[in-house]
Amino acid sequence: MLIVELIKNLFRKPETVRYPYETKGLNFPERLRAMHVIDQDSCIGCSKCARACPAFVIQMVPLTEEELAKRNEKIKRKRVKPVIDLTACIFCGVCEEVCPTDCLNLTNQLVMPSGRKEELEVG
Amino acid sequence: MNEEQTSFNIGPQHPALKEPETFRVIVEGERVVKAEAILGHTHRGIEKMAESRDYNKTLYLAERICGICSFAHNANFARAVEFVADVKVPKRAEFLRVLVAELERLHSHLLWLGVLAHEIGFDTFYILVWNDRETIMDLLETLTGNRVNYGMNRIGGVRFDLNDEIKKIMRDKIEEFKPRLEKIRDVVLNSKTIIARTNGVGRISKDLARKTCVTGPTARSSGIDWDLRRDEPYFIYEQLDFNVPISDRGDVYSKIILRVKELFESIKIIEQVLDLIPSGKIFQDVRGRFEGKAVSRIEAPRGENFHYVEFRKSKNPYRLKVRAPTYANVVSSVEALVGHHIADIPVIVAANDPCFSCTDRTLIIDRDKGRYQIMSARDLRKLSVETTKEVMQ
Ligand code: SF4
Ligand code: SF4
Repeated sequence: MLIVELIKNLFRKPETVRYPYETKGLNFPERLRAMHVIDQDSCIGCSKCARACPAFVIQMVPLTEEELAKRNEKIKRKRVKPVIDLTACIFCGVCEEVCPTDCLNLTNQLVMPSGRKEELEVG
Repeated sequence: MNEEQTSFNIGPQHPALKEPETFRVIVEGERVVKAEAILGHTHRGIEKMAESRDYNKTLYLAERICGICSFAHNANFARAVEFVADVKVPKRAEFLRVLVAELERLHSHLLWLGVLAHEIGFDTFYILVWNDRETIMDLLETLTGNRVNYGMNRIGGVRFDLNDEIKKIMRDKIEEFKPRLEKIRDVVLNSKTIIARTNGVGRISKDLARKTCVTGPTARSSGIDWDLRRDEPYFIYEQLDFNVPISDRGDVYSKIILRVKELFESIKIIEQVLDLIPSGKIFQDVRGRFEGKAVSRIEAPRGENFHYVEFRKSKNPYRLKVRAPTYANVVSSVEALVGHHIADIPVIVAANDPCFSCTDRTLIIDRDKGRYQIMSARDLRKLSVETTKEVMQ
């Protein structure tokens, strides 16, 4: 009995991987809530996400001149855009739920360690 | 304190702790003669914070009261607000709440069992149990999207639905998990190490249990036959068929056996939920300001969890009061320490209350000689492991 276990364990692969350098074998379920993506072209700047966020990490920042010029026709009234600070986000997914245009989504992209805070801002 | 006695503190500070407590222990040689608990080190002001945010946001705050029984706090708060708002939660949502609650009980009891095995130096069993626990964590992640702090509830129902694919995964994994659970039960029943270190240790009699108002598995292991799921059914527990194991021995070993039995009951509940779950809506929309107050109690993995909320024509709670089960159980573990060895302290503390890491820093003060000595968790664990080796010889 012990011998069988011993031989089995000799050829077993380790249960862990060298995350984040290695992500093969990690299982990211469909519903996993991780890194956000915002499609600023369809965002209408309604601030619903910022008001609903329980961790208060979405800031509505004014658009720059350049961005104002580049806005497409449909969102002419957009003046502000959401910027999310992922360092304090609790990944609850409420922002995704309340967004009326479905432009804010949480992907199952989990691997996001970074040494710089700016890299963890989505907007 | 007389000349032969020494006093020392266990805890409180450790950055990774959920609920650090200080235990001030007076020993005579190696034997504990008196112990007291000093609470309040992780006061985070959650109840006050809740007053400054609306009920939807407080839901996520309540979830973060405890990382292990996050669902219990989350669901309990949602249930209390639903009482005030007078909404009827759809049946399917209640089934889903029971499903997650029982998965949480599985992972919490397995975590605890691993921790206890680690405390007595039985690390093989600890890794075995924690590896099996991953199956449950994966199921929770598949259903809700997170391993902990699932964000499952919303006021008026739940956020994530069960589809056929997830249902199949659940059935398969639970089927796969059953033989492993049987293996765990066999180890617990037959392991000489576990029996030697826990049998008769940290006994809490029925009288003491009543006097110190313990709840949950701690109470049931001391012969108090009380489980909210059966005695004051909430969600849809009254439609399910399950047993409430009890024991009257009150020692650490009986707590292990009791929790393993509860694991089997949870599996039974999960299977029934998967069979019986009706189709339909998963939430009822709730909006607006409320007035009124409500109390909700549910059986968390560690015992009775209590939430009181009051609204005064507002969206923000006027008052939120929470009592977590550990708060009720900690007094009994202090009483249980008396008469035991220093090496038994981690085992007894861990038996009642998984926040064992409070044993991280121990300061031994020999007042008469003016000496003091800091005992770290490592030292304390080493002492515990050595004791295991000694009794096994
Ligand atoms: S997922 Fe993050 S950004 Fe979105 S609502 Fe939750 S805390 Fe806020
Ligand atoms: S809720 Fe959606 S549309 Fe509104 S500001 Fe946020 S991301 Fe843009």
